[in-house]
Amino acid sequence: MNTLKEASAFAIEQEFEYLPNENEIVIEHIFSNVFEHNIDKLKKASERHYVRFGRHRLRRSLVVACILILLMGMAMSVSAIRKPVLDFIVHYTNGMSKVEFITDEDSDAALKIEYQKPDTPNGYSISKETLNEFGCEIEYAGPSDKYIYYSQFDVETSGLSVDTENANATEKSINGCKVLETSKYETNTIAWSNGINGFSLLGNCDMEILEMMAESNQ
Amino acid sequence: MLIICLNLLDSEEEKTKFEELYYTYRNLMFFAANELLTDEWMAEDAVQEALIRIAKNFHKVGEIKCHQTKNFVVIIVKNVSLTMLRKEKALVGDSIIEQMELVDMDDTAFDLYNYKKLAKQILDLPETYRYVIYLRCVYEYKVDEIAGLLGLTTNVVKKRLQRGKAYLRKQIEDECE
Repeated sequence: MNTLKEASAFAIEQEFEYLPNENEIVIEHIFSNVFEHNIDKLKKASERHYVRFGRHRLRRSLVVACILILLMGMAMSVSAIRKPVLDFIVHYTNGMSKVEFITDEDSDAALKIEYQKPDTPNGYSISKETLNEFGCEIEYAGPSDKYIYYSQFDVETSGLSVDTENANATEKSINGCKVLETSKYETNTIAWSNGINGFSLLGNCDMEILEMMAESNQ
Repeated sequence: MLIICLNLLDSEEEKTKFEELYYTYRNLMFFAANELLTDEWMAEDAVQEALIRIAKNFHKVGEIKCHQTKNFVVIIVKNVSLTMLRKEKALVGDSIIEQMELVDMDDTAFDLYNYKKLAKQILDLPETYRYVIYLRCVYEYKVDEIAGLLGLTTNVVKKRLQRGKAYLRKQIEDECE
């Protein structure tokens, strides 16, 4: 190592010695709507160059993004027919963990997609509802700034990633379906498949409320 | 934002690694940017811009959770912040260094000196010169890669390297006399 390199390396260590470690920064910054807006502009620029692109970001809460549903390129029509979904596997990482849905490629069964709307919890109301070729999304507003996002999506054309960094992640069963539950700070998520579609719920409410909504979906 | 940055990366391995970098350092980057800019909105912009630049030049980033990478992300976000601050406050450059002669200097020219004394002189350089030297000498980025990381032309990077080294040489020779 030459002296200039050695001196530069030493200088860097000296210069940034005062910086806290990442885990010592207690207050996590809540990124603003302006930030989100800038990201949207970047998204449009990126779409010109890339076929695959995330179309769904949920980052209004303390948690930057708990669930990301990524469009894989094809659009799903409302009358689409799909192969059965057998299971899902979570590829756990220290950040966004990919959820891989396993479909039965050998099956002759062709399942027709039907959009499903979970029961609205007491005290909540639907603030936005979107049904399009990509799937179904519903936003619920509750008391004391509580919110819930529900999404139904096609597992063949969309990918799902869940934020498991420093989060409690458990797999359990609801209505006989395997579900993935994560809790991080005040945000809870549930992701599952009913054998045809993928579903996700995210909210800053109790997990029991999300579980009740998941149970109401057949 | 993560999704956008991930699209700038080529392989799945790089994407996973970049995710790790993002989740490890996003708050530190915001902290470093906000420390300079004292404006949360501008700091967010700086973090966003820095992440995009890092994603575009990610191939040389090694282990994520280490001092070297931590310092690297801070260098990039601080540089972005300084550029924003310079635009905001119309800061002027350091006239003494800007008058230094543009001479190609071999790094071995510094081998005569004590590295700690040299480090002290490096720390006295303005950030614009210091960060270019860090990226070239420690992280071994090429001139064009540094230009991409710092949002400069290759010509400006070359000049900053030449002038920075010339200034360092002069300062340390003066000190030794």
